Parts: sequence; structure tokens; C-alpha cells
Amino acid sequence: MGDKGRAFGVALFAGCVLSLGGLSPLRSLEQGLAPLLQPLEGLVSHWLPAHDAEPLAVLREPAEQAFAAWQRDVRGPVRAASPGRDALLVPVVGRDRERRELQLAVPPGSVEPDAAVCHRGVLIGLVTAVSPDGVLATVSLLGQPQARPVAAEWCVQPEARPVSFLVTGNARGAEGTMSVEAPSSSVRPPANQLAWTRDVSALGDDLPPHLLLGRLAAPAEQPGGGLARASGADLALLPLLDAYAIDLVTVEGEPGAMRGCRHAGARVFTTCRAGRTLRLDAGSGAGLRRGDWVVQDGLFVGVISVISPWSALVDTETLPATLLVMSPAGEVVGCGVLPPSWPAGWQPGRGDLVAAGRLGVGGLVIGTVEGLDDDDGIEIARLPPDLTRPVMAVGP
Amino acid sequence: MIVLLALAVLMGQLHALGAAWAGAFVPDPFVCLAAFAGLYWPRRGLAGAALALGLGRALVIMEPAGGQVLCAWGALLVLASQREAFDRGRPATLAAAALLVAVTWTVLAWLLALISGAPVSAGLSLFTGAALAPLLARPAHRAAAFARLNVRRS
Repeated sequence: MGDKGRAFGVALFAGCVLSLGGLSPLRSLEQGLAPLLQPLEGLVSHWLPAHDAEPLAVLREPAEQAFAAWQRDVRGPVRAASPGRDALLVPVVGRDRERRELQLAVPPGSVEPDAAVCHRGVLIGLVTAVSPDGVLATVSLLGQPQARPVAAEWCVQPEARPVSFLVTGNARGAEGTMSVEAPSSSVRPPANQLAWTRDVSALGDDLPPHLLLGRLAAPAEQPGGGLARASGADLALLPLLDAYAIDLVTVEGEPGAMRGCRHAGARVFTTCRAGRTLRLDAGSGAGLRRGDWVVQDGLFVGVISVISPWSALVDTETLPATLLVMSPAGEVVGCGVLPPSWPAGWQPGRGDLVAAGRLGVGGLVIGTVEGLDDDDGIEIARLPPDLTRPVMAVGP
Repeated sequence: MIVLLALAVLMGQLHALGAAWAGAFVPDPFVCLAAFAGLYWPRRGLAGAALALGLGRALVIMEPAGGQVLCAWGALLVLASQREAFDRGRPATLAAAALLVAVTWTVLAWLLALISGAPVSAGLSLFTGAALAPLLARPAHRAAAFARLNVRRS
């Protein structure tokens, strides 16, 4: 073997290792050969077994109902906007755990810094920056060391005098934990006492009142007492939600502001087959992006995982962060696949509808609950897409 | 090499179509193509042949090409090293070579998936595909002669 042959072998081996390592540009480059599939695809794409569309037709309307119920739930029981503003439903499009920030896609020019961001009546953070074109808002989560203080209170009974305090960031505590500062009383809260935002509009702070903030946690009392109770430094506020698992929130914005979502049509290659992947005949050149949802007639198909200018691969096993599980009685629970994300004491039932939803698309059927597993959580019987019909890629 | 790539893609697509109708155990003729390359392709060009076969297969089964190219490379090297033991004029030769390719491919795919964590699949269809080899042996031998590949009997 000559020097050229040896160099080709080394380069080929290195390329293979990088490809196996999941190097994204290389994976996109590999898809550049997709036009090779077209000649046979064009001839035989309709030679497929008949597709049974009935299960989807039956479940489509319940999925729409589940998403409508979920949107009401996300808006929360209390008004999450100050007077003159509205609580707009917007999707979470980015998560930065290191900086404790979320990014929201918002209607252009409708959201300003310091707007409250909530989920099911819980304040999760405040907008700290808006992109120059006004379509992307950065949210600092409560508990971030640089987050601005929030006036809060708690009381044991509705008619009791509330204990007010300030919620600030916590650089030393566990992720998401907030510090309690300047409490108005040395009274210790009962275990798991909830705290919420306090109306301080008289002081010029328009943050909506009565939004939940978290649960107060105090260290166990030392034998003989001696704690510096008045300082409040020993109290912490634990978050009620995992903010990184949320994909739909409300943000204070201009009343009636709307935003559209990105759509692009594509067809599925019928002559490419793998257990968990589908290939689309359109890529970034047609407006598709990595992470877009692929849907078909109210069915959630998967998420785009690899993209090139002419083609895209869809991972059909990746699920949305929030699954909407609907029982036959119509009860809708938003949760993840794994048991820690389930509400206390709740378990999905076999045969329950599993749906998802996205603004601009509506409710989408994923499948039904097939079983439960201690390690893998909900086992879902997925409904397959009809490979002979076009699909739609939907971006935020 | 381009012809090998085009054939690998075509056979993968036909197998995908067959699998849609009759399930994953439908014989995959790709293994016969790999056995043909291992038996007849010039030793100096085996890396290029592996690239063509691996890229073609990865394109159809939508996996990282690196895994499939390494499997193809390993299988071709193993088969080429045993080339002298095969009588390339006999129909059973391509079947035996295809089985050797299937076994090597499966072992390498398992190892690469274990090491890298990336999906690298072989599949039982490679083994069932070896059953097609007796039908394809004579055309393969003629094609090798036509393309002036190494058809000398050992």
C-alpha cells in the first residue's frame, strides 16, 4: 500500500470515529447523499401496505380537548399580569442551566424587561432581556444570584396577619433554591408552608400579587434553641416546579398580541427504514430546523434530529417535555415520562390517551398508555404515521 | 466505487420496501454485494469499497455512516484475507462468503455500538440475505469477469 493509500485509510478511520462520535457537521454532510435515494423512491413510494387511519381519527378530538385544558391550566387560577397587561401563552425555546435562564419566543415587540413569567400560577422568573427584533425574551429564573428581589408573604390562615419577606437569589444553595431575607416576623413557618407574591404596587412594583413562589423550608430546631430566628437567613424557599422541564408558560405582554409559528411541508422517504428514524425529503433549504416537531393530521411523529440542506432525519422516539395524559373521564395531567415528574399519588391508567400540544398546531395524538415500568415510566403504544402522506415540520 | 455505492443504496431501498410488506426478516441482498466485494475487489481498493458500501447502507438505515463503514471495512478485510480458501467459481462460495460477512458485520456492529453508544445495527436480515447468494453467485462471477476484477480460481 502506497503513501496515498495509507493516508486515505487513516483519514477514513478518523472520519468514521468522528461520525460515530456524533459530530454534527459530519452527520449533516452524510445526508448530502440523500438525492441518491430519489430515483427508486419516485417509482415505488406508493407501493406500501394500506394504513389504518381510524385510531388517529378517534383520538384526535380528545387530544385537542386535552391541549385546550392544558392551556387553561398553564394560565393558572390567578391573573398572572399587572393591570393593562395580559398573560400571553408562549413556548420555551431555549434552556441554559448554567446561567439559570430560559428563552421564550414571544410576539414581536409585545414583551418588555421585568415581565413576570408564570406556569400554572407559579412565578418562575422575570424577563431580563429582549432580543433587538423583539421576538426572543430571556428569563432569569427565581433563585439566580443576579435576579432582582421579589416581595413575598406567607400566612397560616386567610384572616391571619401575613409575614412578609424578600425573595432573593441564592448562590450557595441547591439549584433553584431561593433565599429569604428581611422577614417581618420571627415566627417560623409550618412545614411546607407555601409563599406567594405580595401586592407592593403602592411602592411602584407592579408584579402581580398572589402568584405562588415556592415552599418555605427551615432547618430543624436545635436542642436548647439559640437560632438567630429574626434574621431569616436560615429559611429557604424551595421551587415548586422544575423550570427546565416546562415548555409552555405565560408572560406579561401587550393584550391581544399574537405570534405565528414556522411551518414547512415535507414527504417521508418510504424506502428508508429504521426502528426509530424517518427521513424527510426536505431540509434546511426548505425552512426546517433541528428540533422542529414533525406532525401529520393531528399526530405527533417525532423531532428533527439531523438536518442537511436537502434532507432531515426525524427521531421518532424523542417525546415532548410535557405529555398530556387524559383519562377516559376527561381528567388531563401534564407530566413527563418518568415517575418523578408525576403528581403525588397519581398514576396513568392503561389505555389512557397520551397527547402533546404546540401553539399554532393544537393538540396532537402520541398514542395510548400501554403499561408502566419502574425505570422507564410510561410505556406508550405509539400510533404510526401514514408514510404515503405528507408531513409538516413545525418550529416555535 | 460509484457503482458499488449506487448498488448498496438500491439494495437497501429494496429491502426496506420488502420489510414494509413482510417484516424485518426479509432477506437483505446487501450482504451478497458485500461478499462479492470481499471476494473479487482488488485488495488495494478495499478501503474505498468499504466506504461505498458503508455510506450506501448508512444512508438507507439512517445511522451514522462511520459505524457502517467500519463494519464494512472489517468484514471486507476478514473475507479478503480468506479469499484463497474460496473456490470463486462455485455457487456455494458466495453463500459461505455472505455468511462470513454477516457474522463479522454483526460482531463489529455490537462492539462499535458498545464502545461508542451510537446506533450501529446489523440485523438478522443479513443472515437471511445469505440465502439469496446461490441465486446471485453466477451473475456475480460474470459481472466480476466483465469488470475485469480478480476472477482467478484459487
